[in-house]
Amino acid sequence: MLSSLIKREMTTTLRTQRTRVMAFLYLLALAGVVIWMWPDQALFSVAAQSTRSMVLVFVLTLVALVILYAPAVTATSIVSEKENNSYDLLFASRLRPWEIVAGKLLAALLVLLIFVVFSFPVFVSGFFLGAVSIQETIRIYAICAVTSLFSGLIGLAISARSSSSYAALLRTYSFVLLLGIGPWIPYILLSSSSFWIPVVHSFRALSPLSAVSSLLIPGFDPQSTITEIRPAWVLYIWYACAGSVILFGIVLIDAYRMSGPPVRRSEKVIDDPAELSRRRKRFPFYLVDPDRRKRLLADWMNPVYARELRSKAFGGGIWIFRGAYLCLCVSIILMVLMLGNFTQFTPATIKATAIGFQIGLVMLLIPPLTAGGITRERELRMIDDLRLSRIGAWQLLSGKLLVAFVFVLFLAIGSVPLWIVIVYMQMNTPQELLTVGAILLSTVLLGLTSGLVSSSFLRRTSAAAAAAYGLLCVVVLSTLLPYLQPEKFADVIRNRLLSLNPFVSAVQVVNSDQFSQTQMLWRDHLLFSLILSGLFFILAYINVRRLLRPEN
Amino acid sequence: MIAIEGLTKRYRDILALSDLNLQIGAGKIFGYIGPNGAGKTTTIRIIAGLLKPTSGKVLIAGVDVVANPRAARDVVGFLPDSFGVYQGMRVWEYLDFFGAAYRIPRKKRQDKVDQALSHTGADAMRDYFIESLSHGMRQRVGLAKTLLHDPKVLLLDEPTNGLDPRARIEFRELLIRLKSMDKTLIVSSHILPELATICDHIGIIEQGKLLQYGSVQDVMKTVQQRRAIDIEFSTGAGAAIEYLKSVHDEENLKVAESVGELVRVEFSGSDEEIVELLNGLVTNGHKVLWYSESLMDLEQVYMKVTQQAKAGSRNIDGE
Repeated sequence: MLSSLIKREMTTTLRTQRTRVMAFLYLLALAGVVIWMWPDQALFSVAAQSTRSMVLVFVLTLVALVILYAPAVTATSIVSEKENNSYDLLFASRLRPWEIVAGKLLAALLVLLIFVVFSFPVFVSGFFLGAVSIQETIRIYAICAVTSLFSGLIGLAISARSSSSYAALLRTYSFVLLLGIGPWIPYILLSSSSFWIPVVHSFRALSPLSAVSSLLIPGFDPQSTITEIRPAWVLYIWYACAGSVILFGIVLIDAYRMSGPPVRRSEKVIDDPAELSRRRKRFPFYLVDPDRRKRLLADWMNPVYARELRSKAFGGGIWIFRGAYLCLCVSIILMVLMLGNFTQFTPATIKATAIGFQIGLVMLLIPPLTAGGITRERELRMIDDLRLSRIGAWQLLSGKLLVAFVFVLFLAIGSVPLWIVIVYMQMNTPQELLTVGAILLSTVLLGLTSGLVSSSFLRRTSAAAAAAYGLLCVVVLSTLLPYLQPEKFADVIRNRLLSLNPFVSAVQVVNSDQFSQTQMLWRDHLLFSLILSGLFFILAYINVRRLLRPEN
Repeated sequence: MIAIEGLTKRYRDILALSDLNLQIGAGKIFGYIGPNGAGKTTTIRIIAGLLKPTSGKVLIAGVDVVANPRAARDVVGFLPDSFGVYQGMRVWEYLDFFGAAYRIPRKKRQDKVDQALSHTGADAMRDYFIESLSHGMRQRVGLAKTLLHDPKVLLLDEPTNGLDPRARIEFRELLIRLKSMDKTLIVSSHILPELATICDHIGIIEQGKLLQYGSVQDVMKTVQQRRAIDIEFSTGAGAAIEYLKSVHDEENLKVAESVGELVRVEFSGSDEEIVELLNGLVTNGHKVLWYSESLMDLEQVYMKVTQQAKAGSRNIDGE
């Protein structure tokens, strides 16, 4: 029984064009890292710094790819069955709920592990350089396997509790990326205090990136006189295994609930549209209730923009309020830490954290705002209606982009306390702060246009969201390579690449002592971001124009 | 109103539509009948300007849809078999959006929305959220959306699919109301009896080829070459059968069925010849209780036409 489900899942996943393309790009990225970082000298040198760096970058890329790919496989696994009404069919068969969950999980894991195994031939090249021992290899692959399991289960658990693929994907990516980057923030802020070190170190170990760093960077794990500190990679494996067990339990409980009669919070089932309409006026909807907007759309108004606002932001898109609320909370925490000066961190650390928080937020929340822009119209089967109307590609794209900016405004409002403190403490001139604002805005624009271009080329929102995250990760993370491996780049190329990175450009503006060896990067960064955003928008425009024409 | 000439659509190796020719007058309802995959939706999508044909021409109110699909949008309203809705929007907001999308000025839009809701009997749903509506209600809202820009031609692809009997009857009445508003309608449907009652013309399509086309009565007459006549006798049906066989040769009259005193004959003759046949029976002492001519219904016509087409294609394959 179980094997038939696994076989079906595996077949439907592996035989798609998407999987082949993903596998190709995945191997291309990994092989690219190895070829690019292959040392010119010092073959068979264990001590060679470059060979060690190569393994580090390779494994970080590997883990990052696993983190990016796992949600694409599992986050839609259960929810798509619900959307296609096939989940009930599975429960109506002789399969038991645990078999369904185990089948889905094992199939997704096998696909993920196949990807991990794919990397092995590329990784083996590290042996020729003596850069990595067999014991380390086993540990590295254990981390990758555990990361696949953990990320996959996060996707599966969220998928079981979501009602649409789009929401499931958004939540999974946000959660997984938050898990990758978030645990570093307390460490950056509080590691100067010996009292906090064991706590923040243990917290940082939640991130798979810290596990890899712990394994491959000597001295990464801090020393403490208060208590014994375990290496981050050991802690991570424990966390990931425990987390996986808990998540599997959650998915299983959900599956057993689904298999039984529907559980309702109330005995009374409301299916009268008039009553439903009345109930939707309650909190929080009464704040932004569509009933208040009795006025028709103005002639000058972009109907797509207005419709998106009505149907998404104020018609039920509560997640954006939650996002803004989260921003506000984190922002207030950072503000309190700054003002209270609880630890002796430097202004440079504070500002770098604030910028890192803002850019991280952009990376986490911005791409999905537009990644569903065109694909959702296709999935909702609205594209024919749009073709028949007089809405053109420009109106459609600009409407989607505008409404996304409104959402960004909500997030920006949530971050205001943090910036008030920076202004209040007079750490920087207004001009410097405006420059940072411009850098953030250009990153937002890049995130939004990367979502739009992905959405215009791909058919599924899940794929578009993954592609948008991928594009943004390439821009934001790969451009940090010159910082990690300065000797691999000529000065001109290093400056050029670093200028593409929003984090580096912004930190350089607010901390003049950071990246002082390079020229001022922000102008180049703004230019690059705007050109790339423009290019993405033009590509999206061309493709949407084609999409709105009669099909061939 | 609609003129289709030599319309052909090919998807790689599959011929979806082959040399289709149709003429549909203004204010008429055209019923488009065919099995799944016959080419109905392909035809409708081409007429709507959503799909490019491989060759051929479609003229709607003088506008060439193939050459100028944008211009055709003003005269065509299309309701697909299943259409999506935006979540979290009320019915009037949904219609307001599409009104704006069709560039209807705000001053006129309120009236247009009201009229569309009124024509489709959806006034009461104005403030409901679309996702909370039943399938039948959604179809009404969908139709209201297609009426917003006052198109002359309405293309309805399987509009009654999934509707309960009451909703189907109401929808049928709605189509008749639209016809009275001088709209030209093309309606595809699997539920043939409902087309028979409302359509002025029908077309039967199979494997991309139009097999029959004309008014419902003409198509039936073409298909039903012999008239089926039921005659019930008070007594002596056997003797009456013998009499009929002796008077008419088998090419002219065939006794198809005999149950008790009820006899069904297939007769190829005019109305006058039927009068003579009945007169002969009565004058020869056969006690005719009643008689009636039973016409084939649309389902029988459809089955006969498509079976003939299949048999024809098998013969060609055999050759």
